[in-house]
Amino acid sequence: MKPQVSNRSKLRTVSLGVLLGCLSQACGFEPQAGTIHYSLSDSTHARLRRAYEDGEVANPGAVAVQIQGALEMLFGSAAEPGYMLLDDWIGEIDRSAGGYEELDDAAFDAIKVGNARRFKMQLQLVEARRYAEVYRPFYAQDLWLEWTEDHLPGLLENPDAPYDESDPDYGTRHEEAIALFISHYPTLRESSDMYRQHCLHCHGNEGGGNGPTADFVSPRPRDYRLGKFKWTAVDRNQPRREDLLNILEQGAKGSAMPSFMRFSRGQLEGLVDYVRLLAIRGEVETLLVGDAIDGEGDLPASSVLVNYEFVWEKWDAAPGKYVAVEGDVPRAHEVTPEMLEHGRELFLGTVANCFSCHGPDGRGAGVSLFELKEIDPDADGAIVLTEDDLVAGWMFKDFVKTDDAGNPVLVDGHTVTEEKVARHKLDDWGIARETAGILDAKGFGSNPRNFQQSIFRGGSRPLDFYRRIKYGIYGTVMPAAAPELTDDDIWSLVYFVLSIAEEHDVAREYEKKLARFDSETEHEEH
Amino acid sequence: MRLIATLLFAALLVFGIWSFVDSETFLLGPMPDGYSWWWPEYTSTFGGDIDFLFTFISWLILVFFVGTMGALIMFVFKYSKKREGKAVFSHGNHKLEMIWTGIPAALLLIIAFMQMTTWADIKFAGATAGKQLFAEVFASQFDWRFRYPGIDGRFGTADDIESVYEFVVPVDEDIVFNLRSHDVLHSFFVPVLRLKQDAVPGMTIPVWFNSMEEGTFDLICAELCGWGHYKMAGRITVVSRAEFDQWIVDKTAEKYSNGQENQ
Repeated sequence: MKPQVSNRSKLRTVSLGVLLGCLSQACGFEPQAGTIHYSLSDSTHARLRRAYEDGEVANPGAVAVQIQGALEMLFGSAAEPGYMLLDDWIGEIDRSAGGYEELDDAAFDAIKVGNARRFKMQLQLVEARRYAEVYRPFYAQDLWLEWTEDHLPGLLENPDAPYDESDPDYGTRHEEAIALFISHYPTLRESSDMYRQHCLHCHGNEGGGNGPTADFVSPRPRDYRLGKFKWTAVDRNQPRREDLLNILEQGAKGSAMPSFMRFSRGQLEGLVDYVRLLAIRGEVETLLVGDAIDGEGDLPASSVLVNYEFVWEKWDAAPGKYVAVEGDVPRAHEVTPEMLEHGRELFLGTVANCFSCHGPDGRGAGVSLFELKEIDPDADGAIVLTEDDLVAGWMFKDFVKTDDAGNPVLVDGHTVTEEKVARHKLDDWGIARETAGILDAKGFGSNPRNFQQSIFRGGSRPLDFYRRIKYGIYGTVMPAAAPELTDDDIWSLVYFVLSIAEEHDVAREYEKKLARFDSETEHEEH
Repeated sequence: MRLIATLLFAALLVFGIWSFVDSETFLLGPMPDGYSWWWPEYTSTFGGDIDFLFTFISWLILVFFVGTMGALIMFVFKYSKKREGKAVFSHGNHKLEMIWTGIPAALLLIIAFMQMTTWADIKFAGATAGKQLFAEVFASQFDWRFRYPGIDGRFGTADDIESVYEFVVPVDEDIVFNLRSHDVLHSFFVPVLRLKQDAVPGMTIPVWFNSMEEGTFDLICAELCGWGHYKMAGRITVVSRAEFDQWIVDKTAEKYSNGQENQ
């Protein structure tokens, strides 16, 4: 008699079959990216809601739909991003595919070198004439489409035939296949694919600095939608391409933004294109909401185009606002103690007024960590603050008492006017300065830089410091320098700040440790 | 069922050995540019020692692997057959157990003594004593940063030269660097140099190597550090001393740039 197959054994076999079936599906599984859509920002919805409550707009939902439609017309969808071409651009510059036409020869050479490395596997297979084995590279769906549709069939048939019979500018099919990979410039769609993998989790789908991991990083990721970027080489303007590329290559040291230099130049230029698209889209959205509310819910096409043009002009103006230094930059080994002392005086003085935010010791403690202190006026009714007060801490703005002339008196005999007093403020992205004792809705604040950490996110070259001090940091409370400060003053400040960082650098700890070790060893030898 | 079980274990043995024998192209077929599962050629001075230990241990393990897997396959096949009658109660074989504990223990001691000098040469603090510190390497999520002392020869001063992603070193010289981490555990791993060192936050760890050949080598992170661990890569570029000095000059010029060249 045949043995009965038990129920347990049947269950085991069936589960094994189901498991193997599922696993086989997992092979070759690729998540589809096309279902992501751009949404309108929270502030857009808030403004429309407020307009509705104030009676300015009858149907905020319809306005939102109009704005969404306008933005899609200008910038495409998340699955197919692209720019709408203005009449002025036709024949002049084709922005529809990204920043391709804005690059110079040097950039293209670098892109080609990068592509030779990025597509090394594909190129080696092509050069070995193993065309059918060429496999799809990452973030290159349009390249792959071109390969499979335009190149591969001809190559499999006859690789040495001319690529295009009617056009002698093309070489053989084999040569063109190689050129396809070497000269590839990413489309906006490919860059959006890469953005989704590497950037979206912090910077968000629309570049709002509101991705799923944004709440867990400090400082918060950049919200592109204001068009303001901190670490640029331009004077209070939208950035140049090179500035965005620089951040991608160098990262922002000390923040969660790493360097992406492991990617090829072409990929990085493509990401710059896409970030710019998101930024411009964000800026246009903000302007369109204003216009729609002013128009009582009606958004005419002319206003859409005007705003689009307006934002593009700001971005195009960036190279004209580039900041460079006249003359040479003083080198670190040329710095004299007098220069450092001068820097210190400026730092603690009221013309540059650095200490009021960065604290007298450069720790970024500014005003809030200072205790309120009552100081009795002296016989003349003036408040005279001494070195002790400066070190112990005092809340600058809360007891500015005036002398006879109407100005409070500070140490060193400088006088202080109301404007010089540190103000409590939010930066343009709505992130509160923690020193103000104000934290934003999510509990974030941002300190003025603590120089003792010796981490400078925008770069630590003297030129970078020069730019921050002279022109401020765009979008933040860090202001441009007072016009009284000369370039020499600024270099003194730069090297003074670097000296604070130097004193507290982590390498000092190691030197002390080594010194202790050496002295212990010497001791043992006796 | 008996046959399936036996064949499964036999397959394990076959795959295990096949993957080593055909280590160049196992399951991949011929790969362009020398890509393979196996180690690339080493270029560091202690690479030979590491490779020797690796090969020795691999052969040793092969012997044990074939022996134990063979025994396992044989037992699975022989003893999975249904039998009649009472089971045999065995008290074990004391002599056999002593032998198969003693021999591996002795072998482990042998391996331990064999690797001692290599470990000391590479990892002990004494290995870097007296050698001049060349650079500092910072691991952070998810990139590698490098810092060279400037003219003053001290680190952490205003004239330091900083580099992201690319670590340029001269060939045929003892390169000593301090490894630090900004945030979490990382690991500095250069396969071609046979060098791996964990970067521990809060610690400064001296590491050294000496590359005998010029070239561009991969640097990867070998300690899980977050979602970007897989892409946390860098590049070690080994060049001649003259080229290195020129590189430092170029980087210094870049550092003190006044921005006019980008006008």
